[in-house]
Amino acid sequence: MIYTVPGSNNKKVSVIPSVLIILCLALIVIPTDTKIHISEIIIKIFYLPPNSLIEKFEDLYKIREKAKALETELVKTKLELSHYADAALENQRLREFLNFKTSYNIKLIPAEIVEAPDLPYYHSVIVNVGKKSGLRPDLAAISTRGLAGKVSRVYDSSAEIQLLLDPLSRVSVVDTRSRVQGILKVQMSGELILDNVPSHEDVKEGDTLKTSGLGGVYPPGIPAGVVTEFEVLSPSYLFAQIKVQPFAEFSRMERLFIIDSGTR
Amino acid sequence: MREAILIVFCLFIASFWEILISPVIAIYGIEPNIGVMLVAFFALYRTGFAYAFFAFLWGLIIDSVSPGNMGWNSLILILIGSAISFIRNHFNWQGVSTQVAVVFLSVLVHTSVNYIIQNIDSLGNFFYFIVRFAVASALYSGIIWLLIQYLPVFRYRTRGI
Repeated sequence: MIYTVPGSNNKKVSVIPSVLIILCLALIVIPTDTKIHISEIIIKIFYLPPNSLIEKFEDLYKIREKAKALETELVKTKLELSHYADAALENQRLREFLNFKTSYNIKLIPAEIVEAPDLPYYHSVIVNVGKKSGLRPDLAAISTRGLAGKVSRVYDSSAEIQLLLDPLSRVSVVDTRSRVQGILKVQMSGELILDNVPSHEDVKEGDTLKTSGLGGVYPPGIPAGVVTEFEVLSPSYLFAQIKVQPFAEFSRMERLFIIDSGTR
Repeated sequence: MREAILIVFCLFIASFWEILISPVIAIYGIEPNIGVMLVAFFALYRTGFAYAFFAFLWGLIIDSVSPGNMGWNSLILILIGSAISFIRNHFNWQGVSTQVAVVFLSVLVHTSVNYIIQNIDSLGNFFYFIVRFAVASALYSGIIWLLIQYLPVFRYRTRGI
């Protein structure tokens, strides 16, 4: 059975392949220089576009890989920078403590805060050092900025630090300018105040308070806070209302140093 | 005009295929022969002169890599296209198995003759080449042609002719 397709019997159609075959034979016999010239033109038209596309893709891939590597490097560098910044701060803190230690000749026991229970009227933190590290109850605990509290309970490998903000905390402090003494404690409102200071005493806003050493718990000279408000509520009031801002930033503390002055 | 655009389009597609896709889908160095497959497509599915033009131009493109043999590939492809066109005009070519056989034989002939032309001085490994490359490439091309036949567009065109 013969299948015919429209247009396939056209004489013009059968001539075209014949002409092209003759052209092919002509190409076969033409000089090599001409062949090379023709091939150069063809390569420019048909081979260079896909090749340049490949090169572009390769470049894109390389750029992506490079970007990935740079991104990784950037993150690594950022981490390193952060580490260096921490190290610089740590260095600064340690220097501060070194000066402190030199001044007061005391032993500092570094302690990491491992737990900070957020309970009302109960302000304390748990640190990762205990009896094994030489901790005892009533040793003072300081942060890098100032007095933080004291050791209240000691276990083998941990201890509880009662913070200044605890309602049961009492610290004997002295105004470094006027040498007026008072008791640092927390009001029911949660504010730190300097208590037991007569109304006529010379205490001003901005005065720095340091531990007085009285009571034997806190060594003298530890910065505790700054006076933010001095108010005499009434002439008949015996004591002034003195608000204090503690130096220690309790919400940001990560580690403490337990002061062992060796007196007990 | 429509055929001319299709031919140029197919030439670019085949170039991109040869350079970008063939190396990726090659199995142990065996690649499908896109040029012969397109010649078969033009000879079977398009009007009479399109296959000849495509075969001529594609042959030139292939030969541009080795200018010394310029003209040979065009000649082989035109002859193959003419043979396929003859089959189209005189036999029932619409069966899938017939088309696959046509593609298989066309690729086999093209690869073999091409090898002979390029290695005319040393044909010692000819049979090894036939078994190792020509038959394998023809099979690969036949399989691809078979798969393409199941594309909806081709099924539609086959029924329409």
